[in-house]
Amino acid sequence: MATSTEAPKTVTLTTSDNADIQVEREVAERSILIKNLLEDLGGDSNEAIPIPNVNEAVMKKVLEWCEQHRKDPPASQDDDSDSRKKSTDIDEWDQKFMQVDQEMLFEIILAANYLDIKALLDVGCKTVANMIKGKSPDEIRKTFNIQNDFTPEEEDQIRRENEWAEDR
Amino acid sequence: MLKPKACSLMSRWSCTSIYQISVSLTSSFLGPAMSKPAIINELPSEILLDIFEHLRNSSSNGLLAKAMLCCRIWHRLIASVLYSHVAVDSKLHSDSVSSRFTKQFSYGFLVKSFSLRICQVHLLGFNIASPEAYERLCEIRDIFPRLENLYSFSLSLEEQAGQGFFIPKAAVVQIIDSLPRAVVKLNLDIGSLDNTSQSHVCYSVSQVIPRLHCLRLRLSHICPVLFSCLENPAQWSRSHDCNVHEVEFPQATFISELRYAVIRLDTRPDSVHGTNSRLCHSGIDTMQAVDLATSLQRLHNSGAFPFLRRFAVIDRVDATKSIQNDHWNVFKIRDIIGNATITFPWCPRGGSSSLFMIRDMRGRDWFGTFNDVANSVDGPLSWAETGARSRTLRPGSLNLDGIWNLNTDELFSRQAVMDRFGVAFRLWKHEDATGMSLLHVRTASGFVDTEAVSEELPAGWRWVPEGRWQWTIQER
Repeated sequence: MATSTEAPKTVTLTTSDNADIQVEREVAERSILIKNLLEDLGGDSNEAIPIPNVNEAVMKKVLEWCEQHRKDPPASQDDDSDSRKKSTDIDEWDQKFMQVDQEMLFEIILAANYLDIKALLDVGCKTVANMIKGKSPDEIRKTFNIQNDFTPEEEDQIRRENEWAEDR
Repeated sequence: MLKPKACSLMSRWSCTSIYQISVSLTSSFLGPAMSKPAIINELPSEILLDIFEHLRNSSSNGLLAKAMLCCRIWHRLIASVLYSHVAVDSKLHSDSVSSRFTKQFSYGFLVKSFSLRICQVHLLGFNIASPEAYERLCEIRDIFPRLENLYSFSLSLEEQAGQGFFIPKAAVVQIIDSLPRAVVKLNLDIGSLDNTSQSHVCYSVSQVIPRLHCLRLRLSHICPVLFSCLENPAQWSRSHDCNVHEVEFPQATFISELRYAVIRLDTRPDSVHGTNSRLCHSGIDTMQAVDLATSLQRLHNSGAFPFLRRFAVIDRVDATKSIQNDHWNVFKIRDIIGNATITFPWCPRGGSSSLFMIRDMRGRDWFGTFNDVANSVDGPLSWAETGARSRTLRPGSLNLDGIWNLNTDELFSRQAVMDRFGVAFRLWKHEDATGMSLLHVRTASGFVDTEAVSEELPAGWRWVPEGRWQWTIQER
């Protein structure tokens, strides 16, 4: 749509903590939310775009990812749900990128969800899935600081009823 | 998430349904002590579900079974992921996955699609009349009432290497007859029915056809009784009030809800029944695809399938030998609505390789095992993976221009097999030499096209012997 030549090459995003971040439009448009907003505003708007759900630290991190993946082909509508969920393989750059503390990891996931960046949301979810893999329930609870809120009887029953799914 | 309907169902069992335990206590467990609340659980449910789906699709159910023991929130979400699509193998022992699956009571209402594969060892059990084989069957039959939301069911047999065992028709009949009413998608892929018994699979299927939306059948024995419920008012009106005059039932009473259907008459290369399905209770008579397609079209024209979007009958014609070896085996799609026959050439790569090749409508060649190649012909009527190996029908985009796209999900492209296995074909050599495509998918109107296809030489080219056994082509 907004392909007019005078379209500004950069946009300004205002984060929840009132920081203004200048970023190239192509990079910001990895976010479908921002892309749609820009299209609605028309080509020649120089107004800052408020992003009330994401703070500066997280936004910078997200934009770092967008910068790295600026040339990726857009996700097609068809293979939307399934093929992208088939493996938990993450490319090397993304793996390093996701080496952050849990709070930041979940913030990135929430931001990717809000900003509608499917590929980043996937990387985030795969990272969490990989943290669950190969662990016992107790180890998983420790990893994520989850409180066991089952009684021993309940735990027993769940284990018994789902025995069929266990690996043999 | 909690369904009141499910609660009432659960109360029939003495055990408390674990799935129903309220999650409202969660926060009170997070005592005032140092324990920080788990921030992962502050993620919205749909994101947690996304994570668990990644987990399921990338590994085994075992991981999910472990993770669901973490806490109530995870338990509730993971149960919905683990149980929505279930695929299990049935073996003989009471410790087998399907047997253990039938012993859970809390989660049945979550199951939406269920794929059951009967392994050779279970079939062997039937063949030697082992009581265990029938116990396993009863367990499966008895779980269906608990799968009240099941809408898709798929039954297949483990692929046999060489000669496999047969499944008693009575077993298949019992399973079909006990399917929950909610099932609207049915796939039966059974290449070795025991033809000696009196039970009639086609009759059982016919009883569920009026309510099915999607149907895929590949049976070693099949017959017109399949659609008898649509043709014979007396049979179908049995469930209605006997005093109602039959004449007052308009023709449209005997309709089927079918939207998408495919009936495959082709069988595996090593099938003892030959290349195509036989007629039920007959000796060696095969079901003729032309006859079946014609009678289905007649039914369709009489208004029996008012919702039908696509219906195909698929069979296999093997080429006769020719001295130049230029005839190709084919799969034939008989498109009931489009009134057309589409013919796809395929062949084994030859040698010790188990690769098979099929050509698509755009002239591209695809490779895979026989089953993968055969199944690719389902095209827009393919039953696709829905995670955890469970299959359900997800119709491909409907082309109104008569294009039948192969389902190439499981196939390798020509480039891939050349790179990987060094595959070369004489056909490709000829096509390179002439600069033309010499083998085509053929579309013919009506159902009368029953021929295989041959490599077509362009004008000015002819076959010439090359050495003692080989033939090649040459410009005149």
